[in-house]
Amino acid sequence: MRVPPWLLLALFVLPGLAAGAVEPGDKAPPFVNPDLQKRHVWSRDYLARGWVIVDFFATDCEGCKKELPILERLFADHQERGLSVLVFATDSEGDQVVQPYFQEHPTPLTVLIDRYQVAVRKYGVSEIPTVFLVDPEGVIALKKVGYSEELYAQVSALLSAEGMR
Amino acid sequence: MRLPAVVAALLACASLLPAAGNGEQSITVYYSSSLNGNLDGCQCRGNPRAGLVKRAAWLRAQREVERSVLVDAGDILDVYPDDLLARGILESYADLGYDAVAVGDQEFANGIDRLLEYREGSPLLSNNLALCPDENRCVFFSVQPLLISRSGIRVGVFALIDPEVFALYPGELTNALKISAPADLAPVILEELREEGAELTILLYHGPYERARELALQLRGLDVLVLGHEQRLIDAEAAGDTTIVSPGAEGNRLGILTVSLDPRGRRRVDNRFELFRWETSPDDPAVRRRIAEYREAMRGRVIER
Repeated sequence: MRVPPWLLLALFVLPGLAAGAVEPGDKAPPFVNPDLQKRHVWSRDYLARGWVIVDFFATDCEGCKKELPILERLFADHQERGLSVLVFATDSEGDQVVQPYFQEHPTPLTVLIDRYQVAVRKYGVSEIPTVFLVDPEGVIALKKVGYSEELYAQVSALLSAEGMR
Repeated sequence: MRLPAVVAALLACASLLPAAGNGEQSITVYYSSSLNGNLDGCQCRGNPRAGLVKRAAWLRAQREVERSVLVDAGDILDVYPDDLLARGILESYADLGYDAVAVGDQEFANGIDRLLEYREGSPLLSNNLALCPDENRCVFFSVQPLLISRSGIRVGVFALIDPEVFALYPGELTNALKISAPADLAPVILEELREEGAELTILLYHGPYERARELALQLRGLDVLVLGHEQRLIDAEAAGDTTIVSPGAEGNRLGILTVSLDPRGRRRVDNRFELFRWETSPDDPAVRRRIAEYREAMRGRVIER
């Protein structure tokens, strides 16, 4: 009997693809990454403790760089009510390029080094920039792929609607 | 007596497992590389090419899907731009049930935008490559490595391309690529695959042999490295924990590596090659049909001019 290809796919391939892209409604995956001071930053200190923006960035990605001021504005507007912003720098050169970039362009945001793209794989990030908004229960509330000028309005609207618990 | 459905299902699953007299499990890794755009072959003097049309016939007749993994180490496309041929080859690979095909430098022949299109619905895999089609975004070619279950063995497959293969390519292309160093990424991905339960790990490495061997010697726990790009024949060479294999040039051979794992995780390998000949090996009807369609379309194009 010839087994239909879809059945083979379901039996043998799909289980391996279970760890796919993280989408709204999913729990934000845990992580541990070094920051610019080489201190390890653990997800347990952020996730399920308040609203968190998780941004995937690279120093040579113009869209990512254009999005940083938007994230900084969101942080300035909402930090007193507990918003954190984590910027995962995915540059494969790591510290070598990320440190000089942020020395030249200082930011109040928390920058984490993800040179081996471990967090990229955990969050199933297909392209940069990608931004996740994580609610205080640690669940993804919003995902934005690609540079968008509407990011500020969308995130602000969500945070306001939720009353920034 | 009728068996309860659950018992029947369990028996059916057990029948898929290999006979395991001493608790040993085995799996076959079918591997290819460097097809170089040869959907069809040719009886060219001095450079005979069997083409995918021959390999496909053998795979469809001989391969036990549930007990094997089918992979390619890249350069499946021609070095010259030909979108129609590329689509014919990629459709054939998907149709044959290839689990993973490493992206080689020749896969860039039709440009970055086309390569991103080819990615959809194809088994193309590259875990250290990001493409930046415009200045505002970069796309990770493959987010995850592959973790599949065959013969009751969980197999982890990942693909890396060596930046050195682009040494002679124009800046117009290379400036739009971001390639993480294979030596940086390989141990991390390998560890992640092991944590996810991979019992057998396969790296499809597209790059120079010396660098592949150096990497294999550095890595702990990589079982198989299939080499692409070099177009050389390597018959199960040991490098540290790893067995390096490569099926040679022009896609004329299919490598067949049987890996046996005993209950203590010890590995035994047996490698051989199936050689195809344009004159004598049978054709695969589906690939032959694609070749006919391709030729018909090309004929149309020539007349249009």
